[in-house]
Amino acid sequence: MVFSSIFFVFTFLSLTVAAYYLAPARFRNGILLLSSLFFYAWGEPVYVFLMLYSILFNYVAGIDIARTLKRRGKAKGCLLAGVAVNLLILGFFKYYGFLEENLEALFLVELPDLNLELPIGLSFYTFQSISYLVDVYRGRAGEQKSIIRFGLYISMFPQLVAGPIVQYSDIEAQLRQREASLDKFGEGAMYFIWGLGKKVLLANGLGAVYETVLALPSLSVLSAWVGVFAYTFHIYFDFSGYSDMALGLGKMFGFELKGNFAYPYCARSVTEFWRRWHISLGAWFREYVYIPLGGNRVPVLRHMFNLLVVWALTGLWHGASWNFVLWGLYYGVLLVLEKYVLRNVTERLPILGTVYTMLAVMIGWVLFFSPTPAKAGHFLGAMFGAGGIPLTDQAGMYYFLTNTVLFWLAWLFSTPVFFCLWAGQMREKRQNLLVALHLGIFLLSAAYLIQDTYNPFLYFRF
Amino acid sequence: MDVWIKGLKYALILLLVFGLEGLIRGSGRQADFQVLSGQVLKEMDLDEMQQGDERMLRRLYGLNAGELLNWTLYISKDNMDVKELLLLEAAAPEEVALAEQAVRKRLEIQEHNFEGYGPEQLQLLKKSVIRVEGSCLLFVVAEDPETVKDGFVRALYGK
Repeated sequence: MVFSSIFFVFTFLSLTVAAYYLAPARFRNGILLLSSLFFYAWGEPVYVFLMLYSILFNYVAGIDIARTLKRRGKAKGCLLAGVAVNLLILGFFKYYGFLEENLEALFLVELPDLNLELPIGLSFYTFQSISYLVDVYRGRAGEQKSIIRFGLYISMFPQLVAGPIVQYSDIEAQLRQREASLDKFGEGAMYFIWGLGKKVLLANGLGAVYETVLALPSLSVLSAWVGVFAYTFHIYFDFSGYSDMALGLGKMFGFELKGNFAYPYCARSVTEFWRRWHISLGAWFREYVYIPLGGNRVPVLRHMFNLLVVWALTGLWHGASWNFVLWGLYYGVLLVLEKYVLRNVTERLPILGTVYTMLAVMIGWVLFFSPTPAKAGHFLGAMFGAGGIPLTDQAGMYYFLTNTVLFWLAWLFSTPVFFCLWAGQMREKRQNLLVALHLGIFLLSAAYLIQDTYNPFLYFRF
Repeated sequence: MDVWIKGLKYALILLLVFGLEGLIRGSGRQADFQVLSGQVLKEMDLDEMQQGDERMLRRLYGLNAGELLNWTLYISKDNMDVKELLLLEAAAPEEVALAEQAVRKRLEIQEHNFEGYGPEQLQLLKKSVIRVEGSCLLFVVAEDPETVKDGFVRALYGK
């Protein structure tokens, strides 16, 4: 089930909200847990058992770590065992095929071909489970004795399938007690509608442009740029739209989840871009990988190594193939260059810095969306006119001209101009207009959802 | 309490290990599909065709590759050529019905596209074959789709 579907909006969400607010406060976590499991089982009727296993195992492992905390060595052993089980699950279901392919090529052995489907949201809830175990071990949070609260932390439907990745210590208190009010509910609904609009009205249209360009039998420089531009904004509105919906849904049930995006395409350096893009993933890697490796409080070479390890893992987290590793390492190298060669000079150059960042990010997206490094090379070649590829062609001109308005809108809505200035002023002075605007976006999105079948979510496959 | 927690933890780890081992032992379906697709592709002239990827599958049929057990798609390199081959295995026979609907819709759109100015292409589309067997579906637009279909049936039932 996806948030941007008629069934979710008009049936599932309505029933869950009604049941949640009609029930006494002590039953609300239970209701949210049941509805989250139903939400997951709707798309994953078999893998819901894997999630139930993960809930039960990590619940037990957390208690096991907490009871051994006074004997540090033993607690560390329990933590390592818990993390290993989580990584085994993730590795088996997400990376088995990748490992099989590479081991078979490297050692000429034959391994069983499992052809496993990736359980939706596995990467997200595994990282949350690891966060819980580490937080309990570090004493940042106590062990969760209520399996309902713990189950809700792992499976909460607003952020279950595409994040944001919630660190346990950030939400522990909210699982116990949180405030719900009409104002907060309204704010949540506003976030949800913005997210829905971003996804349905912008991301889907941009995605269709990108798909069409990628399916062209041949590319010109112009059509390649149209394709990569469409993808750049498609993935942003798709993922940030989903994150806005998740934040909004969280607020509607009284939770305060941290924002996952902060206008990343306005960044003046790649370093800044990653402080603004998928913030919860960056925070997770910083907290649970980068800092344990020594962070930046180590000699320069070791720091560079740490950055490359973290970014190779970030790439691999996005998908089990070499192009994702390459994509991650590409960013690792850029971050090292910015830190030690450019000395973050681009952050002091308002327009040039943003242009450089956008160019670097767009090249990165080519590595990201291409199925193999060779295909990425071919597409990058087309973008820069390598091998006598024509500057323009009929198809490139057609898709450029027919989507110019969409591209301008995409650029406008990826900046804070509208959201911070105009919407902020309206919130203060013209609330009726703001309500009408949201109602309009909601109705328009619903109309699109009824008639449009193209409605994928990119981050579901991670 | 401590013993109970420890015992439960080890029991859960054992459950996971046996579960994963069971998944590895129970595998082998992919090989069957590989044999099937190998047989079918042998009957098709693929010289002027290219293999389609997940995006193509979604664009042409609206099908999500992640929801299919196995699939293979070939389309013509030339936009004006309508030769096409789709072989897929769905998770259950009921789900094949949805895939069949998608294929029929695709065929309808193609016929509409070439109606009036592409008589040769239209003829190929008119004699195309859609064949469902169990949870497998074959769609083929070719000069001689019946031969490909026979190869499909032979590979499935060893006839």
